[in-house]
Amino acid sequence: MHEMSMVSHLLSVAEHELSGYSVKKVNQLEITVSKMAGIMQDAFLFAFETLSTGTVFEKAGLNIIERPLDVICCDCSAAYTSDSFSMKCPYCGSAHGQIISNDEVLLTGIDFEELT
Amino acid sequence: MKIQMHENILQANDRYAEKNRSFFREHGVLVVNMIASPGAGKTSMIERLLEISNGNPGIAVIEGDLATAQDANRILNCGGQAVQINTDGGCHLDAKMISKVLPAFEFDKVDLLLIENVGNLVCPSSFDLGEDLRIVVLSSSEGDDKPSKYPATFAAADIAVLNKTDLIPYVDFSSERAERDIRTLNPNARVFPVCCKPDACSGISELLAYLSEKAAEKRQEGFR
Repeated sequence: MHEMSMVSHLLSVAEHELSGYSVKKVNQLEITVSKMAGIMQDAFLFAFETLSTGTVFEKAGLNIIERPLDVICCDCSAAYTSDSFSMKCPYCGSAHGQIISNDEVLLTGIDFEELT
Repeated sequence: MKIQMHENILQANDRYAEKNRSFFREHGVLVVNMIASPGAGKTSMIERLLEISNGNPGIAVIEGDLATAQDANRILNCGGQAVQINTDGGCHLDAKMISKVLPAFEFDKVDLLLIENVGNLVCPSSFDLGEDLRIVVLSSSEGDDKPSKYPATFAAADIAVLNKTDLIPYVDFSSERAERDIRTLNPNARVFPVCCKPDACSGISELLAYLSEKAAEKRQEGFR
């Protein structure tokens, strides 16, 4: 359900971005997320396949770029990134890190062909 | 042809959330988004908060559920203002749903608006409702492994409530482990152990005192 709702928002935003173009075919949408977004890739791809049917996005690929978490170490104040929620500061070894990444799901690119 | 952009796909939700935030600021109301699994004890916690507060601070409640008005009726029975939102299968509340029910409240009597989200530890955390604080409620019977299994929700919470402390002797739950895992994900979260059973209520006064302090700060901000 969650992914369905997210994908339906994604399609509206992408449609708005393409409103100034005469689109023949959309090849790929690119989205960028951090782990904070709680997106399950398979569920997101399935929702995209379902909801894009019959729209200009049907048969388009979906490239999901996962950004690592941005973290500030609570002990030595160093900024670092982590690929998982098991955080360990690479500078001082502390396990106390405050995640500063937000949970935004960003549409970052659209690859498409225009009508000639 | 490839075009690049940097567009939040939940921008429609975020626009409503910003409108809600301005509305709450104007009315000097502190807003709390409560997230938890079904059955973690969110509604019981609100009932105890209402009983102990006895109108000070003034509390209003938005109840989110897939179906029925049972929870809103429980709140009305405790003397609180309450509105039920039924999502008809939807797994979370969004900012537009909140904005639609705001006219139903008498905000001159409200200092604290508690929004009880749909029972779910995953989806609600992606939708900003315009709140000031996020509370995640974890009950002991769910197990102490939930913070590490649902990290995004716990990492984004300002307050973690450990509920059903009275059941700890009977279930496999270590408060130390739960608290340690919450702190690993979120060192700045405040943790409140509570029990919401009417005859064994504990920890609610401390939680209410914290929320009252935050509500007073918000009211001051509103008047500025």
